[in-house]
Amino acid sequence: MDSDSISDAEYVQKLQRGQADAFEALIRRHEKAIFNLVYRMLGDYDEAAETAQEVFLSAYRAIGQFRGDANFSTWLYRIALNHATTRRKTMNTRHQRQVPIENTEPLSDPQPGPAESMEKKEIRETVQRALNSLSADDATVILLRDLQDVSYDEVARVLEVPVGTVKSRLHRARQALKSELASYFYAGRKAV
Amino acid sequence: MNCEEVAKHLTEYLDKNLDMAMTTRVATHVISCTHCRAESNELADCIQQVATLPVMEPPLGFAQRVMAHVRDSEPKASLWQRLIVPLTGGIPVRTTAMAVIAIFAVVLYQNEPALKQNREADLALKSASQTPIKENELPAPTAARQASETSQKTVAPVRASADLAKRSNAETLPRASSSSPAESPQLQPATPAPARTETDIAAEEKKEAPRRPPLRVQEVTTARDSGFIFGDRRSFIGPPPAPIVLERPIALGDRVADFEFVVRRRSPQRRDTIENLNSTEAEDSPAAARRPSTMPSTGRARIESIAEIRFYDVAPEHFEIFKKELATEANIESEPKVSGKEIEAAKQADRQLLVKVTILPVDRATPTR
Repeated sequence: MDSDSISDAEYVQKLQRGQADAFEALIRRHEKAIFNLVYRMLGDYDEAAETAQEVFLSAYRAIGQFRGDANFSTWLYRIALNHATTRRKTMNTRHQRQVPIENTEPLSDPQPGPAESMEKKEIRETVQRALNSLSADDATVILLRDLQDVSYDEVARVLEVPVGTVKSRLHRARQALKSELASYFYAGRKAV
Repeated sequence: MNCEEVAKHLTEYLDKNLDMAMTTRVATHVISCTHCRAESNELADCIQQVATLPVMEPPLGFAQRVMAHVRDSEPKASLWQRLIVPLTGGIPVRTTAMAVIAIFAVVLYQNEPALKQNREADLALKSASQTPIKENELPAPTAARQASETSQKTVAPVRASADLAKRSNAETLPRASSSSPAESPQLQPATPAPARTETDIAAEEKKEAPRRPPLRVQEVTTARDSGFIFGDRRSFIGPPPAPIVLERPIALGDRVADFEFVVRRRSPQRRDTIENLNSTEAEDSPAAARRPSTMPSTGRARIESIAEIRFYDVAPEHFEIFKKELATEANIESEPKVSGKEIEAAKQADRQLLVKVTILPVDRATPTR
């Protein structure tokens, strides 16, 4: 049977019956999303790798408590955000929120010109810095909605808040991000 | 729609989360309002910047590393789990364990002589209680003793006959004949006792009696009294239909009597009272029994405080006869209020009435008959 045709719920049931191998399939299915969410929350590749590993290990240990009321991905996002928020606080006290210079980001455009590559890289670093400067709540809601393309309803389930709260929180978070990016993106535009 | 209202809905507008009508209204305003258009474009740009952040690949071998940690965190399977559990396949472990315990219990039971003996004794008691012993069915040694007793008719005929009844049943129903809880409940081998004279019996009683501790309450629940109230054949010689028979062994503490009588003895009739310890032949005579007791002996003082409790299974139709016989044998100090309904109910249920008789010792302060 193709592993893609098996739902998360089925893998979870197998895992709850003691088939540890089912967890590997779940990791492979969700590792990228979780890693990227955590990475964008932390802005550090190594920290993100370590945190993502903790997220999956926590999920494995707590799988017995997963009742299947929500999607497995929703449950996993919640664990990831808890871990990332905690790690973020630790990092903030350690580095005073220093944004590392990332050399690991792949370039999406094949063979870009040197100038274009530099500009894109600069934009990405600026956006990442802006995300890091947001509060954990604001960064969380923006990353879930805009990076992971999670629906309002699911964001509400992940954050365990009403949908109305998600809307207002998202509005506030975007305004904060815009303010962070304004000096870079919109200074020239306003000057024009 | 003004700018303030548009600002409220701008996030949802950009996410295309508004219904058609609201989307049209917001879009109309955004197109016409420079400020709102700029705001919308900037927010859309922010969203775009986040959305187009490059997707990062997790470290190579991330899943394998996590799984390695998962396997490390699992407790190592013991030798038992590695070797035995796979062999069990689909056998339910709990059921298997229960079956093993049950087999073990049966084997243990069969190999334990005391348990087996108890069971045999129970079976003997059950079978004996189901076949009531009648006067003319007494075993040979008992019959011989009975014959010798009737020929003697001397010292204490009442006591002797009571002994006779007890002994005869003791031989046939060894377990049922334990007159005191202090006695061993073990089944004794039923060896037929040779016919003995009254003096032999008395001597034997005197020899055995000290071993019995004086008990305040004696539980007597045996079939040896079947047909005889207080074991006195003289007074309860099988009136009409059938003798009153204790049909079932009832465990101590499980008894809830239907009716309860409290009676007081009129004369010493029991062979196993401690009276025997210190009494003389003269004291056992009816004349001595009538005499108010002023004996200062400690043994007698103890005896007077002894009460006896007996249980009788009485057929409902014999209840009145039982009551009359009881009245002839002892002074009834307390008797239950018997309603016809209870008797009828017992008859309809085809069950016997369990009658508890608390026998108080002879009140030596008052003259007896």
